[in-house]
Amino acid sequence: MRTFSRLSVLIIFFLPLFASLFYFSGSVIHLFSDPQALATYWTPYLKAASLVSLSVGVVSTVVGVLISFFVGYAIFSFRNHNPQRFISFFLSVPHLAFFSGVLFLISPSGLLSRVWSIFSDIPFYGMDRDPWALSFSLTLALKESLFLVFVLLPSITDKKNEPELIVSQSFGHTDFTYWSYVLWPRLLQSLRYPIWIVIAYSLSVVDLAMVLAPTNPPPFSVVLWEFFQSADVDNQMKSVLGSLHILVMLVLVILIWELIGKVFSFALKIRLRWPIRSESICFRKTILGFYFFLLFVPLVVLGLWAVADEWVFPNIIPSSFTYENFVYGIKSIFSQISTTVILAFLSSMMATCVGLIWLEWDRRATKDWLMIPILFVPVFPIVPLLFGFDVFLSSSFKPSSLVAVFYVHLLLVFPYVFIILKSQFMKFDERYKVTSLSLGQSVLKFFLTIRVRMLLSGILTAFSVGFAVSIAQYLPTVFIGGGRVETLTTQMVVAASGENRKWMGVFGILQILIPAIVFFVSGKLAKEKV
Amino acid sequence: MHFLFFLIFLSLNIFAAEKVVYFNAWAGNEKINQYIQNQSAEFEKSTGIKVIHVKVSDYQPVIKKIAAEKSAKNLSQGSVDVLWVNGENFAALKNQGLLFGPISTKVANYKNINSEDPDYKFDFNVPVEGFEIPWGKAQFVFIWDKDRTSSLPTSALELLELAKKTPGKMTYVKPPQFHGVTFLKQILMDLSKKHQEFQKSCDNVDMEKLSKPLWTYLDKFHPQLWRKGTAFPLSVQKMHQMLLDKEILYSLSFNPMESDSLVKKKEIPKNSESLTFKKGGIGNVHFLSIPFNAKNKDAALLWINHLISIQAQISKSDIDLWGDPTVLDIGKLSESDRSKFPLKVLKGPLIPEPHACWVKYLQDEWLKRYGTGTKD
Repeated sequence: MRTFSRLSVLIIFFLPLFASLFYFSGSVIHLFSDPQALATYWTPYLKAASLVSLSVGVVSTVVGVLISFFVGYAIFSFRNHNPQRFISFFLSVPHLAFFSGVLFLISPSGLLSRVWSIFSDIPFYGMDRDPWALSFSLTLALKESLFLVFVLLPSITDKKNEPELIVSQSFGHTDFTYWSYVLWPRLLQSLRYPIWIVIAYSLSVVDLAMVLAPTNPPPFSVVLWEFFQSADVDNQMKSVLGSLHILVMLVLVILIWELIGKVFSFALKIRLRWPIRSESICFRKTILGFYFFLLFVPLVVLGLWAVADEWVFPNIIPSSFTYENFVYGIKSIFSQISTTVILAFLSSMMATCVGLIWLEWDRRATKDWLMIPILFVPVFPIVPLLFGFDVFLSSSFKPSSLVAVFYVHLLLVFPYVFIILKSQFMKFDERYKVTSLSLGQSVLKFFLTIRVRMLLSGILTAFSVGFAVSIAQYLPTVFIGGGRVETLTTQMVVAASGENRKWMGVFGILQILIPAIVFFVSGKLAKEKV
Repeated sequence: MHFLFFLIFLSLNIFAAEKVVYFNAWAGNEKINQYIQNQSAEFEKSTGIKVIHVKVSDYQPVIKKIAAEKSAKNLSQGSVDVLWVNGENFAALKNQGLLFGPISTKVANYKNINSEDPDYKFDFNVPVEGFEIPWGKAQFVFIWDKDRTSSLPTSALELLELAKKTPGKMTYVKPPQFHGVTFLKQILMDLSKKHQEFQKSCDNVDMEKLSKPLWTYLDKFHPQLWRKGTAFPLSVQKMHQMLLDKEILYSLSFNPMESDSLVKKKEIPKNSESLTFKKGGIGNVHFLSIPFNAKNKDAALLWINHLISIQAQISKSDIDLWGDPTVLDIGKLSESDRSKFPLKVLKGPLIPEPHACWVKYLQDEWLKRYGTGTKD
């Protein structure tokens, strides 16, 4: 069984990962035999695009961490409330749907502009696609802060009643002081790799850039994607070079981020502290309320577009509503919806099963050093990874495009599922296992009757997160599927590239509903069984 | 356990392996997608062959894929059966020997097309030689909201004058997207007096000198544009929307009839009109072709034959279905068929496309000059 568990992890995760890296580095070495390609690569256009990407990387990370600092504090200080359900719901909302909602809010003909036109005759300029990529970075920061808060959530709830807090209170310090100077620096340690994931994502995302990022010049990831799509031979070289380029930028932004962290901790060390006045309950309520408000409004606007029949500028609400868009939309992309659901269900299910079996039967699975390759997948920029993966598949067993897409989803879903499962296993008291084995029960029997039942809610969470991760994949689906595998998300990108608000609304709502239903059902299941 | 899942996937693939034509076609327009869907349903009813519309937003990856199949010695199991194509993409495919043909002799309904028409003999000045079959015609037009612009510009210079009077109200699709590149060509051809030179292959002409009027024009035009030319819409659909939202004064289209149907669908203002410049609008023909390694060539030929049949072309020219001018020679048809086609579809004269090699030049040059934005 242990061999089986190792073999299955090898097949679904380590083999594709290392093969991809191997083939990617192979083409990099090949590249340096052609110095001419190197010479023509760097253009002013690329430089401008890289600057946009760097700024997106830094701004979205810094703001995202700041938001999670305040939101984390608010959650911490509400001793008896746990907003976990809201956090998981908003986390499961795919980025693309959220970004579309924001676009419908801040574009020149968006809801804000419509409201503005009541009070003023001066036309609203629109805040989307600003050349500094601020609207893009801030939206990304808002959405990614959810991920950071989600990671923090278990440790925050654990620490609500810890003895250190009483020490702090005895000195007359407020919760906010305690949070800022004691708890947050400790929690930041556990946020280190999640923050790297956020940085990597902000640098390499392409589908979101189509919705809110500046167009001229666009972020570097968009230029890189154009290289990859191009049939021009020069651009083939450029795509390999570009993959290296994005890697360098990733390292650079991570270094910038770590430097910012160092400066802050140095400031703390030399007791450079800003005075914190006592805060009121009102303040915390405002933070959380405002946070959820910001997250919720774009979804409302998205929903309005999905059911709007006619919504002429500058009306604030649609003049008539219809559900026909939904009926027609679902009918026209029914096969894509089912592909999406099947892909997400199978890849997340398989990742969960393999993760569980591995953790149960192989003690090595919980080793710390194993987290390096596991975390490597979400931290490494997606484009070079896919590049290598593509070569790996076409030079090995050449699966059909659907199987290939399934395989890549599996690779990308596995780390998230595994991390959640592992944290569940770490919390589990291993004495249950010792007792069962001492009573002469087999590991399999213990696994099925005790472990799975006791960890059911955690396992279902892992499955739901994996499901949501798979639903949102755009680049891997298009790249590895060669454009032949269509999912809800690829259809959403098609609608977004034409900025067809009606279809963006309908598909976006579907994109939100499907993972939300999975979260809801798995929540129900977890409650019933326990 | 997971082998079971693989089996499910495999079986899904096996079920799909009936007789199928993979039709790779641009899918940026919902109405065209609907048309293709309707025609493939009719085609399946009469022949039993299923057509799968592989939705393409950019042709580069498709060409790349076919070329990769050729170098991987995949000579008969290609992933594309029929390709909707023209211009520089056709030139790229033909030059690399990626097309099957000549196919014009293998399609029965080709008899209704006037094969001597120079529009069909040359595609962006590249000789067609039977490697693609004409499917429809296009003419580049501006769609103006007449409620907001009283005297519509009929030349590039008049357009610039109007732009100066109404700053921030004009834009165009960002090149390399083809509506954007065609906008550049439209301006260039309107400014240039040497149309003949543009028909030649680029090796024989001074491109820098020939294109200079365009760049001096754009240097003056861009500061007057929407967001001062620091941002551009990425698709023509976005421009329609901006026209509806009164953000800009005109939108662009490659189909003179499109404005009528967009008005009907309330996607642009109701008083909109398509117009070209006085000298004419860039016009071209779009074609259907078969890659050299198509898996199912006989079925592919039948599908092309169906698409240029009289019935399919009649519905194609219907404004409510697509509204695309037909490629059939109306004179060759019976009287009753003839009356089913709309009379006048083109707005003003057609300006032939410059040679296919201009596309890449204009794209690269534009990015070099304007790709970093003009933030000042």
